[in-house]
Amino acid sequence: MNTIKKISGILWIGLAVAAIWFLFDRAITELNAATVKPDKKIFWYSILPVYVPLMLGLALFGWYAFKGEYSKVGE
Amino acid sequence: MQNSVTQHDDNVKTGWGLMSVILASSVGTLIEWYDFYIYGTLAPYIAKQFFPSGNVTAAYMAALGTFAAGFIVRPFGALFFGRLGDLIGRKYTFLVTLLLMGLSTFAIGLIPGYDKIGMLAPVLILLLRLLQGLALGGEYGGAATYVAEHSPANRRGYFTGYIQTTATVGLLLSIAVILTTKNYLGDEAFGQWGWRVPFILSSIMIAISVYIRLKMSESPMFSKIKHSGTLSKNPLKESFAKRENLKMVLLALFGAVAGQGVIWYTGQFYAMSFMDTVCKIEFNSVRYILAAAIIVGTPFFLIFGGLSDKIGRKWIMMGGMLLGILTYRPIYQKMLDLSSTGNSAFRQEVVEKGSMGTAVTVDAATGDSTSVTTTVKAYTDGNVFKEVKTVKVLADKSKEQPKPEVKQTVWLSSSNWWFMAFLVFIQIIYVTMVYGPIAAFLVELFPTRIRYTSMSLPYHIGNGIFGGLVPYIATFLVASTVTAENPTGDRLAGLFYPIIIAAVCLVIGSLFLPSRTDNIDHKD
Repeated sequence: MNTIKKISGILWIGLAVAAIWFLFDRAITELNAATVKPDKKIFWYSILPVYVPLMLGLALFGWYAFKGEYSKVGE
Repeated sequence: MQNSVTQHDDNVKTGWGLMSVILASSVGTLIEWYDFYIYGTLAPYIAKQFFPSGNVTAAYMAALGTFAAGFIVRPFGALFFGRLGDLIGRKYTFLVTLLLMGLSTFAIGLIPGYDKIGMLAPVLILLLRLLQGLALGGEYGGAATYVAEHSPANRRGYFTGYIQTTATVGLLLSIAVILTTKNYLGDEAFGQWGWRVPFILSSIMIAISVYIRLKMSESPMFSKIKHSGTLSKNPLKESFAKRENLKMVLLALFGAVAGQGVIWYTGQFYAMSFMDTVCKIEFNSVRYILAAAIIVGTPFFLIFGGLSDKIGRKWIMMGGMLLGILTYRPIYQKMLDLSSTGNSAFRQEVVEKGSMGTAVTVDAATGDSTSVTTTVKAYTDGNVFKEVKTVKVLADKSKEQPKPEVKQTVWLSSSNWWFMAFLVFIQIIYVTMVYGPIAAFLVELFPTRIRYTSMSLPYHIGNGIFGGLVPYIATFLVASTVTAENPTGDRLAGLFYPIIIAAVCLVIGSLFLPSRTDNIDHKD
């Protein structure tokens, strides 16, 4: 089980990176549109500073998992 | 090592003493949820009074009020009040959050509209809404911690289950007060000033709740570490700068609370929004359906909380997530089918009533004409569908003509109404599975000295951000499937967001969460 936990750490890091890329990609596409409504601007300007650190948190979780920090949790 | 949560069992209350603790904590938390939800439910009325549609700055503020208070400020409230709660105690901290919430809510009910004080009105509303978010961020962790620290270890899930009912019952209470006021005053008076009544009524409930809380004593576990001089000097640093604690905060967030948050918001708010905006079911009817499902579902918070004391918290929460992942799409497809806006081949239209017709009026001063076409259809299954299409034609052809407004409303037949309520009830059961045990789970994951801080942050990130974003991201996902060939898009596409978040959380939780948290050793 501990090996699976460690290997999954790479998955969580990859997932976090993919999510950050997706968020920026969508935000740039939406905000570069010809007409941008105020609520859409607020949405992206609120979401990015909140979600990107959260995804970094997921990456950190993945790093801890990869390093075996959670091996003893639950034993 | 000693178990910090169980080592104080000699101090815990029993019988009426414990019930009074639970009652005093729950009532205050319930009122805070009520205060928070009435703003959301009455948002269209508030927008009309304070955020006029023609004013771009006001529109920015309206959106900020929604996003900032719901998502961003709550975690800051968790940090600010969590730190206070670990430094000065649970009792005084969640007394402050209650007062802050009560005063903000009461003030929202008194602020004059945009037509009276101009831009000051939306500025004040925004500030008060932010204070509401801060207060809510500090309240829940305090109440859950306070009840858990009074409860015996072997019944902690059951007793914190009472705190877990408050968010849902607060929503129910807000719906009940709003519907009662609206029905009593009528639509016009409610739109003009009646919407203020639920805000002002809150002050009475807050006063009673503050009175009850003033009579409470400090948590026995907190008192004990205070007297032994082992309080944390810097709970924020200890919670998030020490790897041992930070890794548990991350585990709580990504292995439990994020998934719990999306299941919670999908089962209640997205279900409500879906019935309103996609199924087009009549406003009051949607609220009655949700209320019926909540009333029948609420006892299950206690049932699953109690069950988690016996078989552990983890697999009940994971089970709720798994059921949501597997069944959301069929449930929402059925909800679409039950409404007339679903697959049109699903039912046979039987009659087009005589009330359909077009009325045209011409403005004598401007020459603009407005035609209103009403169509009413009844279906074999008893549903009734009404569409009112308003087309305004400007006399001045050089101006851009406004787009037609179409308002569709569906009244469900009795059997479809009950079936819809059943489908929402199933989702409420998932909510109770993930949410019932989670307070005890979070409390047990962290030591007493930093518990308020450490559990509040993941809770409000999971619920405020991952969960709170469900309606917005779901709307975004549906809109992204709209094409010229398919103008409505995939109306179930919005479910991908909660399903993906719950699935990630399910995998992390299943792999990493301990099966029994009540045996975790902590050093206080």
